[in-house]
Amino acid sequence: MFTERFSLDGKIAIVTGAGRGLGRGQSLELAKAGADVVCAARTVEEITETAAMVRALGRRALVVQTDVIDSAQMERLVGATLAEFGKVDILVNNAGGGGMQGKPQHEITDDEWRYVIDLNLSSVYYGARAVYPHMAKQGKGKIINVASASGMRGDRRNVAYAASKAGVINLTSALAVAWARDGINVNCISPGPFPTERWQVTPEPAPGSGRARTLPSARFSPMQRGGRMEEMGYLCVLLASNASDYINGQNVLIDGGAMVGGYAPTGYTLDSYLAE
Amino acid sequence: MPVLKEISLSGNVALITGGGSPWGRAIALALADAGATIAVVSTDAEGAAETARQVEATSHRALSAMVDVRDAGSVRTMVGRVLGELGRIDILVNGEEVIFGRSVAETTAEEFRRALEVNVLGTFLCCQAVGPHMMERGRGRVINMATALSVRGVVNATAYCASKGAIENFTQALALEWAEYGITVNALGPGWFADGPVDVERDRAERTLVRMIPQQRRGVPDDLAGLSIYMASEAGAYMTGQTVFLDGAMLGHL
Repeated sequence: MFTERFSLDGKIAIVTGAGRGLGRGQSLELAKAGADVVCAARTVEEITETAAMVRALGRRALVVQTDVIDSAQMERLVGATLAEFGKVDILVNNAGGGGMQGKPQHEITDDEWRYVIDLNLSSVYYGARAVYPHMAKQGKGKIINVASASGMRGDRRNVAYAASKAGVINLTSALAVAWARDGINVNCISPGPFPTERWQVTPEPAPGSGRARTLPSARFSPMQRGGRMEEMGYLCVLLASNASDYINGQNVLIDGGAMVGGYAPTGYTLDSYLAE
Repeated sequence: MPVLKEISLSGNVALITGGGSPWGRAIALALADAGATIAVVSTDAEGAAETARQVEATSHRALSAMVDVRDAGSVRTMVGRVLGELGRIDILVNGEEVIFGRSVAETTAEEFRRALEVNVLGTFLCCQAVGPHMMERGRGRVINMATALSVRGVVNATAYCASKGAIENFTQALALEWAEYGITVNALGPGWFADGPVDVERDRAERTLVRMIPQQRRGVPDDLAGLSIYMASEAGAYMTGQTVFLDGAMLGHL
């Protein structure tokens, strides 16, 4: 009776950035929960592979090459979904990224700035705008955006990214308020350290090892591990399903407790501080 | 119907305090539906027994007991009994609460203390009593009851707001303390809920309230079901320290 609410049987989901990492994780769990999945991203080979994995789970899949910074392509993505499946129930605005790491933050050019804002923030609006009429017409829809802990705190190496993700968090809340009457839920997920092919959680990096592009090490994760892709997927299923019908406008963190501890190194306790 | 196997609570035992209230009852029925065996405890022994009866009516095992969550001895005895009868506790839902609304001028120190003791001390004592068992097994789920009033104020509610603000921060701090043991600590944050049918047409205050909720309806106890199952299950293993609000988007504009 209650567990059935988690089922996505007969639902159609669009996932952007579905070719790898979190987007693939979300696509596969949505499929396991019963949804057919439209896999969108720039790199066709990668989304073709995700689509094959979705089909191997017994669901239908559609591959639509999409660059999310282009609103016309987002409209086309939704159009292709409607043409193939006749409706859209779930949109996961997962695609994003772009960094200015290593660059002095006062030297970001206008083009670089706009690119990061467009890739992370404008793309979310374009996607939401494109599915809105269809979801409003059916009186039901679930939009899930992917934000970041960077959108809640500062990041000295990447201010554009931090600003864009903060935008996603409040855009989520504002769209939820605007569209709740249409039966649409808009929530976002802020993932903590999830190791991917590109991003690794190092167990305990040697000081000065100079290893590039590592996430805060396990030392900074209260659970002392990174997240697993499936775990991102399970949360996505919760927010995509009828099990979360009264959750709306939320930024839901899944980070093993990292943010509530302020990324303080684990083992750092108040009594040890007081004893100093 | 395809459902993720990771939300199954089969083989789990859930201990639910305040299980006689409409919210505790909805959570008990939800966790039972996902496969858990339920222990319902409350100062309201009659209400707890009724919840246990309703769980058993759905063919899931349940027991009920009386507890005063403000009293460490009462809590220890109750936890010992649940462990004795059911062998384990995988999930602790701290649902016992006092909902108290009165102005500062009219609130006695005793009333203020009672709200803090039931809502905060009671949560602490239940965690303290169940914690060693969960730590030993390297796995556990704690679900606390926060509310939208953990992060907003309302007139004539200082005692309740203070106690629920405390629950949100208690949840964060305990999550860090127990993270390395595989125990997650999260909280449900209901917005404006109703525990029974509300006549929106007749009641002017209700009409105004519902207009303020973007989703145009109050929450009902069953709205807590999905998130409770998620937080209690293997699917929620990487979420900890979080208060997730269920408010029909109200906090988005108020």
